[in-house]
Amino acid sequence: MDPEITDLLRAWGSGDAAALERLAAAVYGELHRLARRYANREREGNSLQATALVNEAYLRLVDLSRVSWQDRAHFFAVAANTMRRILVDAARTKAAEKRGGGAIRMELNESIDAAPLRPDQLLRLDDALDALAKYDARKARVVELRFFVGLTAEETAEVLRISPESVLRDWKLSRAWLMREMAAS
Amino acid sequence: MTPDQFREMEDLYHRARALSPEQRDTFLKDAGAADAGLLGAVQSLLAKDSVEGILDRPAAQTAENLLGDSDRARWNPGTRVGSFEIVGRLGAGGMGEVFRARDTRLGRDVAIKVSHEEFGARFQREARAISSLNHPNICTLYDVGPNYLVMELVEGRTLAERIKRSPIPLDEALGIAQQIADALGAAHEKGITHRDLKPGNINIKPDGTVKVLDFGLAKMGGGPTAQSDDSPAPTSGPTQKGVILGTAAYMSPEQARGKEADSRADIWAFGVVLYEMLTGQKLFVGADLSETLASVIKEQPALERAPAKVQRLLRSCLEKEPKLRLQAIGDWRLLLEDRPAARTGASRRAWAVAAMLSVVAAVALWAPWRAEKPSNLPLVRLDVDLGDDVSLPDVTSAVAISPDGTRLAYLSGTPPRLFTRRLDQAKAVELPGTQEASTPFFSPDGRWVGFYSNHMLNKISVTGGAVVPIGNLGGDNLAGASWSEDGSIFASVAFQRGLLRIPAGGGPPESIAGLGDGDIVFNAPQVLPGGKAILLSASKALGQDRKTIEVFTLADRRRKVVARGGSLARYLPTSTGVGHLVYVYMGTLFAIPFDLAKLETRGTAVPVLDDVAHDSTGSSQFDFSLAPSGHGTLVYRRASNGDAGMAALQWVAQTGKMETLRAKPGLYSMPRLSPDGTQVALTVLEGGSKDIWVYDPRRDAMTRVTFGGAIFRWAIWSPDGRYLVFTSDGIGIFQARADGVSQPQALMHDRPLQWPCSFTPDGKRLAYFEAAGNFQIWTVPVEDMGGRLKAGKPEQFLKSSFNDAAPMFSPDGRWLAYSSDESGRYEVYVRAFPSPASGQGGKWQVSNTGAMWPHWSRSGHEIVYLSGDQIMAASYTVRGDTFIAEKPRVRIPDFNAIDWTSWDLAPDGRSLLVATPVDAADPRQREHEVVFLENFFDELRRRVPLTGNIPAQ
Repeated sequence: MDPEITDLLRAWGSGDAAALERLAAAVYGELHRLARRYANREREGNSLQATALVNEAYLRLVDLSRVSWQDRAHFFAVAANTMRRILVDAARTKAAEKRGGGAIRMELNESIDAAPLRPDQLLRLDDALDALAKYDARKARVVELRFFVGLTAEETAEVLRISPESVLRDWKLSRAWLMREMAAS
Repeated sequence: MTPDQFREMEDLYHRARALSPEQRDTFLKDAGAADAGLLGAVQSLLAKDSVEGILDRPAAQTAENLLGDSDRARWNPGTRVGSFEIVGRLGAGGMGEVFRARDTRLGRDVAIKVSHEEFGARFQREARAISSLNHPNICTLYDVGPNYLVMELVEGRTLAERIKRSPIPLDEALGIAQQIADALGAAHEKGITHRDLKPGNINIKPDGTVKVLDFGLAKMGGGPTAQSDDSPAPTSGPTQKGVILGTAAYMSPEQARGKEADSRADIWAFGVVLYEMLTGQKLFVGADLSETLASVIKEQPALERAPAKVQRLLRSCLEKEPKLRLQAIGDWRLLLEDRPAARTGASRRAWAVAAMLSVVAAVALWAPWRAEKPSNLPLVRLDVDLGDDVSLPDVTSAVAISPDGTRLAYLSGTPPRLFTRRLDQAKAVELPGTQEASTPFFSPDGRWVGFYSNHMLNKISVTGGAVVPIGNLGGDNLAGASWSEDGSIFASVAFQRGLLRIPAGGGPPESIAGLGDGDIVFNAPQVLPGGKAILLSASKALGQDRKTIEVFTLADRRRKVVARGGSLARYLPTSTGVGHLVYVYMGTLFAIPFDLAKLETRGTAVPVLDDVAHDSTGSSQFDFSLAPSGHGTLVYRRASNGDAGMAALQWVAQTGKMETLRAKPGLYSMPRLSPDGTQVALTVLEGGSKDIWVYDPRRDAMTRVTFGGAIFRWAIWSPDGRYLVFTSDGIGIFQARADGVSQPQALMHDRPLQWPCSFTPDGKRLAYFEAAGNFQIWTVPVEDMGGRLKAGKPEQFLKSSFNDAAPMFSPDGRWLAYSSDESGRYEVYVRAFPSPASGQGGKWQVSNTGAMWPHWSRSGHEIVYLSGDQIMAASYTVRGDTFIAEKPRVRIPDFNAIDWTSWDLAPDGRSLLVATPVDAADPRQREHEVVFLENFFDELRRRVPLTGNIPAQ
């Protein structure tokens, strides 16, 4: 538990924009550590559940006795953006390693259902999301929450305080738009 | 796009989505999307709805591979990975590093093999199966991590080290063989194949226990045993050339051909290993990969050096055809021969003969099979990835191969620098001081690379060292250079000075052929063998048609045109004085026989490759070497527009939703599902020839059924799934067994242009159409002779003055659907089969909007066909002799196949298998890939025979 994070969360919730940056930095460290632990631990067919991960981070970092349910929603919004940055940073590192090493490329004939996300795909998605945010920031948040954290439409709606229908409409358009944008880049 | 336009696009998108696909276009036009850009944007968004993408699964599920640790520090002594504590490093192999670690839970030491990259899910699943193997002679796989394997720690030496010391006495060797056979037997019983058995994978512990390592791990990739399941024989797909070398010698013929290996491949390798133990010699050796593979496929190894006792066993293990081979490893001892004492004399004599033979073989060359020198090796295609860090510039001759075929020189980076790479090594060497280099070319001895930079012609040793200036070319760009045997470099420069001769040791350039009237440049000179003439491509102006291929004779300084329209001409020499002249026109490589003495071509030029990179000036990128041993290697870069026609295999569901079956694109056409729906026969265009392959999605394996030389296409399955019947344009209808074990044989070859379409359900009759003026439909009785089909007397089904094509039998065999243009355009019709005796059978029209390719649904009463860009389905009922087709409905709008034949209906009657066009490949990829065609000269001799009295080699 981190009293500072709780304070930051509350400060941000009550309109202190500067608190967000510090909050994000603190959340990044914890989420990153958790994500790596999840990814590296021996897995028995369980895939990484980002929702569980963010929840765990929330429970670890925030003093529940001092926050309201809105603060939890705020935390998820921050965590979604943070998850995005963690994955994009990891992708960037992987891509750089590949370029540097001239490593032998493996053709492992992935089965379709488990094809891992390629670093370059994620980097292109990141760029496309930035472009999307310029037209409609809310849509980018929807994508972050649904794609990077794995929230349902209802949970996303709760975090963003909009209707689930709006989430679904935003998601449909964003999905098509991002796919097109990524194909074009 | 402005934010307002974005909102408008969003609004139109949501409103259009609420409509049926048919209504959308009208709606969008009516909605006054006057702005064509906006209309296109909305349509392109709608199109994405039916496509699967990375956004469809939460990132965390698919991105774990990004989060795992990849830093080396993780494997330092003292660090812990799970319950393992790293003790130290044991060594490095092709796949990565091996560490010794302590399993703190179980208190034992283990070996951890760490791969450079993450394993795929599929590999992890397979590895889990392998970890179930528990046998005293198998190195146990304990655990599989995201990029590491935890295995039993085996102390001792490898069998390879043991053999290197000396051949192994018979009794000891049989003891080792017994343990290897026990290990294989235990694995085979569980359906696990080793796939890469070799002395380097077999350990002998100090107590004599044999441990077979790396069971089934050959698929792991990245290592010396990489890709042995579906590479390195004729194939595409990036391969680290040379790195496979170590393993090819133990590969079974079916693996060498690129087919999937089963337990019998291990039995082959068992035989090869046994031979090597007993003789200390490798059984299959080649100067390089392709020679080794060719010898595995073709040569009958001489086994005389092995003791008589094991010869019958070895012969059985080393049967080329898996079905004739020893089938179960457990039976190996039954094939040992204990000769009676009375025959020792004969046996000794046999030994003496064998010893003599081995001397002969050693003199002939150092491998037994070389005594019969192969002269006609199969083409081997290797797509070589030079590494992600390589970016070959898009200029003429960015890549050159050394005359002995062992080394590549290439340009990479911005500004371009020169690199060389020995092909048996994984790493390239940058040649220092070569910034701004262009036009690399080798010296005849392969020790130097010449190149141009900053007005200067230079050379540098292939191993590095100082850049040595040869001559100043002034301000004129180099358009190609060729280094002659006698130490002159012929360099061609743009503008006035034309062709220059410069001593390779340095000196002032001498102009020997100025440009003539209207000439712009002499491209890509090549000193012809003998050094008396130069082959060059003269450009009158930029563009393809203004080019002539000429020969310039040094004695009389005359130019002579030998061909027109192409560029980058090269003469590929033979020992006979007649070789091939090859040149590129619009990305197609043509070959024409060329008489070196007369300096003229013979016959006509034939296209042999259609994807050679070229630019708007017609300049192109390829080079050749005579290696290996005159079989010839062509190295080239693939054209960007070579991607035209690239397709992926997709399932398209009734909803239009697509799911990829084989993502790796290729020049696929006419996919046909096997009757049980588990395999796909395909026509694949590769290296200028079309062949039939069978794709098995469960194993993601492509098996080649026909081998080059002719155009084979249009394959269909027999109803029992045992045979493929296909067409060879200009020859007739062919057949082959679907498992690829037989050569294609003619089924009918009295008429040249026939296309098989469908069998009756009992497989006893084949319907096809043939071109005899117009398309006409025929059927022919077919009999299974056991291993091949035999055709009877063909009968014309329908005689008309129209084009009738694509005859397809109904699932009950009573009806024949086909396409006919009798109405002025093609429509689908149905008639009874066989035609009623009256000759006046009914005919029912099914389609009404233009249609080709009827397919019968096997499950429902439906005919499915392609009309324009829509897949239509028409239900039907049968009443007595009457066929009643209902009004067709649109099944899939906006259907997109690579061509109109390239789809098939799944056995469930619902999904379609489609070869769909894919977007041009990642251009970045082309920047670091080159294609090697080994034994290219042999291939040319087959496809463009050299006329004249050329002695058979």
